[in-house]
Order: sequence, then structure tokens, then C-alpha cells
Amino acid sequence: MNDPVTIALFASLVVVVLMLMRVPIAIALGAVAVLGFGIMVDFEAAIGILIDSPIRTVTNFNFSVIPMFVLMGVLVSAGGMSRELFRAANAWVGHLPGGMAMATILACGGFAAINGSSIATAATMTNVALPEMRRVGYNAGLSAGVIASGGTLGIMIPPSVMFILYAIITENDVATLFLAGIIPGLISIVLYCITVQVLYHFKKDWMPRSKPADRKERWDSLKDVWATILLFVLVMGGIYGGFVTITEAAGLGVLGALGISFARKRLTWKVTVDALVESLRNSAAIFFILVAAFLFQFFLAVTQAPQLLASFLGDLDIGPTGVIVLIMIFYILAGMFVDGLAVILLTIPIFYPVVLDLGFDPIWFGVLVVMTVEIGLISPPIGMICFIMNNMVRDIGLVNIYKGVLPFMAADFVRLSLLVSFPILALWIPNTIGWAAK
Amino acid sequence: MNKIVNIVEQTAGYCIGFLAIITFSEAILRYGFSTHIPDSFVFGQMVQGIAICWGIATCTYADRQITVDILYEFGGSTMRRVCDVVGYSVNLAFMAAFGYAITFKVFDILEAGEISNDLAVPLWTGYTLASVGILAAFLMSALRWWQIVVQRQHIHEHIMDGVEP
Repeated sequence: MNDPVTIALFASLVVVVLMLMRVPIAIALGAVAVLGFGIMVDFEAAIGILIDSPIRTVTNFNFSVIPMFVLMGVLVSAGGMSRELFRAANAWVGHLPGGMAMATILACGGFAAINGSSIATAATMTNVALPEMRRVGYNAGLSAGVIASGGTLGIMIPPSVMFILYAIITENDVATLFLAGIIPGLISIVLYCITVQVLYHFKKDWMPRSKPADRKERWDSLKDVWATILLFVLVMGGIYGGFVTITEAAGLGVLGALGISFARKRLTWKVTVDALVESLRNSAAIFFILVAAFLFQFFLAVTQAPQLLASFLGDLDIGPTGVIVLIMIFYILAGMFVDGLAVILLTIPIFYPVVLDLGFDPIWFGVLVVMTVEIGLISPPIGMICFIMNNMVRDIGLVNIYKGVLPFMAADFVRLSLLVSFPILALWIPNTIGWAAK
Repeated sequence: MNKIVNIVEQTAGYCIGFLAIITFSEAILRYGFSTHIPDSFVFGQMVQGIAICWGIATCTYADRQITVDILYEFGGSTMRRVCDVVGYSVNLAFMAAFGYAITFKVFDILEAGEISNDLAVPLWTGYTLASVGILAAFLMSALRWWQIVVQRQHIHEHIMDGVEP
């Protein structure tokens, strides 16, 4: 048991068992990290990392981008921008076969551009689009599946909290990752719409067609979308125009969302305070896992497990692409059972050096990882988004929601295969623009 | 108790808003007027640390940490009891160590006499407020452990009003 690799493997097993016993993910990671470090080095040193590392993490100003983008997402949800996006998308495509489903996906994509969380996107669109889809007679499971899958766009289309976390852990540039997520995000929208068309072909009665909106209604619906566009331009224009840093852009996004919503009388003081509290809760949960992940990294470093795993994977006779496929399979399986955030924070320090050693682009790998986490968000048996939707709308049932997301998961696998085969899909925009961090 | 936790949570929530205001104002002043808010970086750090530590405390009280619920969701009452005992005991043990460590850190900073660059504000003030949050998290986890492991109450009976687990 004195072998470092055995200790690392045993510790990882203990983390999994503790998590399954409903020990909070952060606590499971943190406790095992401190104990493991104590066993490997000594307990005085283990307490030493507990003294220094967590406070450094929670007071690291570079990480302030997390609570601010979380707050921006909560504010735009409360400000009703999702409803306007859905109304506009529905006015333009709602009359097409499977139109309302496609409108929902487009609205999710638009909302994702001003909100970095998949769960927030799905939860917001559940309130906005689900009642409409059910009112016109859409199949309940399919409707839930469309929204859950569309919700995953929240972490792919920038700004994205997952990209920020990946960038923090790997010390990559957040702005480059945001750019790299654009084409995969758009591909996702196209593939989801194709999926809707395929489903419509086989199950027409699941998606009754709506009457087309008249021209005036269509143009009127676009009038309210200005707020979303303005906010997106403020944040992304600020970053890529070279005017502000990512952190400042996040602050600008918060103040922009607040200003726009107050000017349109969409926010009361109480709603604003509720938004602040909700963003605090989400941010505290994310930071606590971040704290624990850094502790676990200390432990892993002394076991040298990442280096040994790197050499093991490198020696496998499956080629570099085979290793990437193996890693992706691991991520998809892990994402089915464990929160995506924890999966990224826990495993990136292990896989990242392997991927670099094999000569792959770190930005492309970041997009791949976030994409697989996206799939995990809707995969049975956990699928965080499915669970949340099930809590919000009790009469559909978890099994029906899972059935509803399955066709869209197939679309996700097609996209993942495309991205593994053609890394340029992620890298074309950053390479073309030649973006350099401010 | 719920009322106190609500007030703490709102205050910590304001800190997140304050963080955005500091960041935004600092950017405006720097790019627009070539000046800056004295110690804005240190204030930002402190406000963030305080908000997150207090956020961890209220998450602990309201049982809102991110967990994997698969066994708990589908297991029987015995499995749930085992999960409760293990979960809350490990939680308490870690929070005790974390509370001890962060208190040690505050004394460390106090002893070093670290101050901010512009306004010479002693840094221990911010660290102390943050550490009190973690100590509160330890007390909250002790309270939950007592209620659930010792008194065998069900967690859902204790979740604060209006706050979902």
C-alpha cells in the first residue's frame, strides 16, 4: 500500500464511494486530498496546504469572473429576455414542420449567448417554452427533450462558465476558448434542428404545426430582441474589441443586464436581491469544488499519478486519436454519474499533460471536454438538467424526459465525432482572427 | 435561525454585486480617466472571499452543496440512513479541519501585519470576516450532524423556509 500509484487509485476509489454516499463532492475531494497528502508526506504538511490553498482560491481576483458571469446569467433570466427570444424565434420558424421545437432550440442558442450556464438556460426555457409547446399539443417527453438538449448550449456558446473553469485549471486564455466554442455551438443548433426534422418525419402527431405569424407580428417580435443583442455586443465586443479584460467584461455584463432590465422595468428590488442570493449560492458551490480540486491536485502531484497515467496512455498501441477517443469515453461515462464541474476540475490536471504530450491543441481539447460534459448533463441515469426539469414539471416523468433527450444525444455524438475528426471546426475562428489575450 | 441565515445570505449576495460594481468602476476610471480606485484589487479579493466563505456556510446549513444523489434517490431507508450518517460525519470532520486551518491562517496574517498598498488597511480584517464564514459553516455542519445523525431527524424537516435543498 506504500506504492504511490496504489494510494492514488485507492484514494480515487474512496472519493467515488464517498460521493455515492452523498458526501458533498467538494468535501469528498477535500477530505481525501488532505488525508492522502498526510499519508504520503506528513499530516503537518497536509494541514499546511489546507491553511494556504483554500483562502488563496476564494480570494483569487482572477476567479471573480465566475461569480460575475453567474450573476449576469441569473439577471438576464430574471429580466425576461428568454421570453423575447422565444417569441421572435417562434414568429419566424414556428409555422415550419417541428417549428416550435426549432424555435425553442434557436431561443436556447440566443439565450446561451448572454448566459454561461446550461442549467440556467434549461430552467429558464422550461418556464418559457414548455407551456407553449404543450398548449399546441406537442408530445410532453419530446418537448422536455428539446429544452434539456437546447439548454446544454448554455455552456458551449460563449460566455461559458465551463470554459472559464477549464481556462483557470489549464492556464489557457478564456477569450480564445470562447471563440473556439462558437462553431461547435452553431453546429449543435443545426444538428438539433435536423434531429427535430427527422423526428417530425416519423412522428408527425408529436409536433402539430402552428399557423404562420403575419409579417407585422414577425417584425414586431424582433423589436424586443435588441436587449439581448446589446448585452452580447457589450460583453463580447468589449473583450474582442480589446477594450476590456474578461473580468471587466463580466462586470460590464452584470451592470449591463441590471441597467437594461431596470430601464425596461423588468426588475424590482426584491427580484434583484433574489438574483444576488441565487448567484451567491451557485458561486459558493462552484468555488467550494474549485477549492477541493486544487487540494486534490496537491495530493495527485505527490503520487505522481498524472505522469504515470500519461506514460501509460502514451504507451498504448492505439495512436494519439485512440487515446483521445478513450479519454472522451471516460468523460462521457463519468459525466453520466458525476457533476460535470467536478469531472472537469478533478480530471483535467490528469489528462491535460497527456493531451499536450500527444501534440494536441489545448484549446481544441477544452472544447471537446466541455462538449462531453454537455452530453453528461442530459445522459441517464443522472443528467443534472433532466433532474432539474423533472423537479420543475412533475407530470412528465423522468423516464419520458430521458426518452425525449435520446435522439438529441445521438446528434451530440455526431458533433463530437465531427470535432474529433476535424479540430479545425473549433480552431478556425481563433486562428483566423489571430486573437491575442489582452 | 432561518431569518439569520437569510440575512447573512443577502449580505453575502450584496458582496457579489459590490464585486461587479468595483470591477466595472475600476475599468471605467482606468480607461476613461486614467485613474483608479485605491486598493480596488484588495477590496475585490476580500469581498469575493467573504462572499464565498459565507456562501459556503449558508449552503451547508441549507444542504445545498453539489452532491451525487443516485444512491440516496433510489436506495431504501437503510441506505439513506447510512448515507446520512457517513455524509454528515465526513462533512463535519472536514469542516472542523477547514475551520482550524483558516483560523490559523488569520493569526498568521495578523502576526505578519500585512497591509494593503494604497490605504494601508490591515488585511487580517478581510481574512477574519471570511474565516468567520468557514467557522459558521463548521457550526452549521455540527448542527446538521446533531439533528440528523444523533437525533435521527429527516433533513427535509430542517431546510430553511423558502430554500430548496
